Amino acid sequence: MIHNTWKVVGAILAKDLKVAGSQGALIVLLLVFPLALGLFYGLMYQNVFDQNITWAPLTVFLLDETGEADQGFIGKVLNVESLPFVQKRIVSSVRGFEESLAEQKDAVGIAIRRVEGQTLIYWHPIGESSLEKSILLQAVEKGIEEYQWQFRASVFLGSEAESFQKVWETFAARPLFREIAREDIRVLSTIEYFLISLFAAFGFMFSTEFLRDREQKLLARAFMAGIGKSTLYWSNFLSNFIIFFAGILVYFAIVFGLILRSSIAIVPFFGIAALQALVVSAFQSLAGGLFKTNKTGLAFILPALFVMLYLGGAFYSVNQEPTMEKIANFLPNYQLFKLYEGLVLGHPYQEASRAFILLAVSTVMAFIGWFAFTKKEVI
Amino acid sequence: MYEIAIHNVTKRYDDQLALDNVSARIEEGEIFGLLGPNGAGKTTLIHLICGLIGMDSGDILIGGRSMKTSPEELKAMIGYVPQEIVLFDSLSVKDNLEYFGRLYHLSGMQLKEKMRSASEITGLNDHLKQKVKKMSGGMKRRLNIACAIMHDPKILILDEPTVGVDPQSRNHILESIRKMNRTQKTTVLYTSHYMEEAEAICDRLIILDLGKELVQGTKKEIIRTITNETVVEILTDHLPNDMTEAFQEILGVKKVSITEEKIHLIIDSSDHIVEKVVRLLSAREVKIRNLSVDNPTLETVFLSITGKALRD
Repeated sequence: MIHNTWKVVGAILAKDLKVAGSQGALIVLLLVFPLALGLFYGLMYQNVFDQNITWAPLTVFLLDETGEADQGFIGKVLNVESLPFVQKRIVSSVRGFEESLAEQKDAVGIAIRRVEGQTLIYWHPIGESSLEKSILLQAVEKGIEEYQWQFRASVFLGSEAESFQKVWETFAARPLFREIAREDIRVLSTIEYFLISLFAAFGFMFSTEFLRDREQKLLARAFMAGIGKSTLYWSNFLSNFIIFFAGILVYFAIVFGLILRSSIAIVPFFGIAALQALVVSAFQSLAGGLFKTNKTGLAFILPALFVMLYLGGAFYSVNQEPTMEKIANFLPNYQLFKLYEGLVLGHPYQEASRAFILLAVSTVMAFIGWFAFTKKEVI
Repeated sequence: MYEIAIHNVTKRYDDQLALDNVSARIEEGEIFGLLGPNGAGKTTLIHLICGLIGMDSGDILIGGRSMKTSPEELKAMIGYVPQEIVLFDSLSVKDNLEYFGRLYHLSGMQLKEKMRSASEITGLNDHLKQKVKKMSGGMKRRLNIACAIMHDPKILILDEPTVGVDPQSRNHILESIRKMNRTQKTTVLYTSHYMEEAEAICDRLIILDLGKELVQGTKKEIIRTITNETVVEILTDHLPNDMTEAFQEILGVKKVSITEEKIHLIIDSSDHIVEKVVRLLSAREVKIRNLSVDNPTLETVFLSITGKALRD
């Protein structure tokens, strides 16, 4: 029985491979179209999004009446290595501070003063607002927030403050204060972005002939060979998975090997590619299970594809807008994109939770399709 | 044993009654014809026998086993040739045969041997490498059959296998069916629009219309049901509008069918009715260009029972 089932899987796979081989349109849809479109968009927008930022030096005059400028939080914030544009000047008196600022056309003064037993921090920007000043101000505000938390923790918890922080981080599974690693600053280039995002979306169009076979009664004919509906359904699912998985490998061999020439971790790549093949096969099998004709199937697939294309960030980065990103998180192509993004940026396991979400979604879709297919008459 | 017993089968599609309490028995090794116009329920009955759809009531037994309880084993005994050409267009003849053979769990030498014999029976052995999309309608029909006989079925069910086929391919198809029936004792269930085909190859027949059984038996038995009737065909130069009613007023005229200038009548064999018909036409100043009087055929039986031609 099991032997016969594998014979059926083999027959359907061999047939699908022959059909796929005879259809140039399929190759175009799967490989050439996303490649061409990805390169087109990537090259078109690279001058808009891929500009290298050249930092303008920002002179920062620091007056610290507490005497902690080099050790305390301001000292950390004004570290030249973390903020490469900062040129720190320590001044020792209020008069020196004011005179120094008066001579400047573009600078920032930060004064940490003791007034009636309180520590006050003064922010004195000179000249027009700039990206560098905004970044520095955010860093200072973040530093103050962190300092206040630590101060309160030490007041309330005393010597237990440090151990509380460790316990909190254990339960929350993240650091209390996120340190931004240098590597995180690297983002995908526009070409990388579009080559991945378009394939993640258009890949959902890939299907073997399950729906067409059903419409043209080829499935009914196979059913007449005494093959059960479940065997037919899962054989087609598996065939779709294997062929699309091979297609993904070819696509990314071209993208990573020939176009981007980037090195990626092979094991997680195979995992993500298998996941993409799984979710696409589940999606197509769902359509094949629910609908009897190509026309009705496409009426389901095409709107879904358009939603994925436009809300799932295939054509633009949804990260710019928090609401859009929240919506995109519901779409499988965005989840796939984030997995590939992590792979390219060198932290493939950082978004592992997305892989589990996709696995769950694929399972649900595949089983709904199976249920519908086995409950309906085949013709 | 591979006889098919159909017991009081009823099938509805929503509110429409597709088959109404139909019963029939197809003996092992016979060629059984299933006739009826479009919408008669022929394809529905075939789909039920093949287990492709479920029935509302009744049962179908093949070799004494119910399609309801052992569908997969029974299906494997059946070779089903659908009404449509159900093939992979972009593949070759060989690829199509191989695919369907593999579905029947054939492999290796056995698969090759079955491909050879199926293509030989259907006359396709010189076209194995040809792509289906480049073949003629007749050749596709033959391949449609070849794919259904890859596993040497005990029962062959053909749903209008000669629709749109050239005479040469039609003769080949009919001869292939006869040969399989003769040499392999295959039980054949054959549906057709073409009455002359059914007359030529079927041992027994059932005629359906609007989901109901009209008549069943051997060709002779069926014709005997209207044996006291004669078919008259008259070709005229023109016809007044009210001629149908005028013919029906003549006692002994049972059915009237008029298409343009051709009159088709079924009349009682007695009582000089032909003479009355001729007199009526000359009274209306209709000139008769040709007149023929024939014994009934299956076509006339069908016309007599249903009041319409089989191909309507």
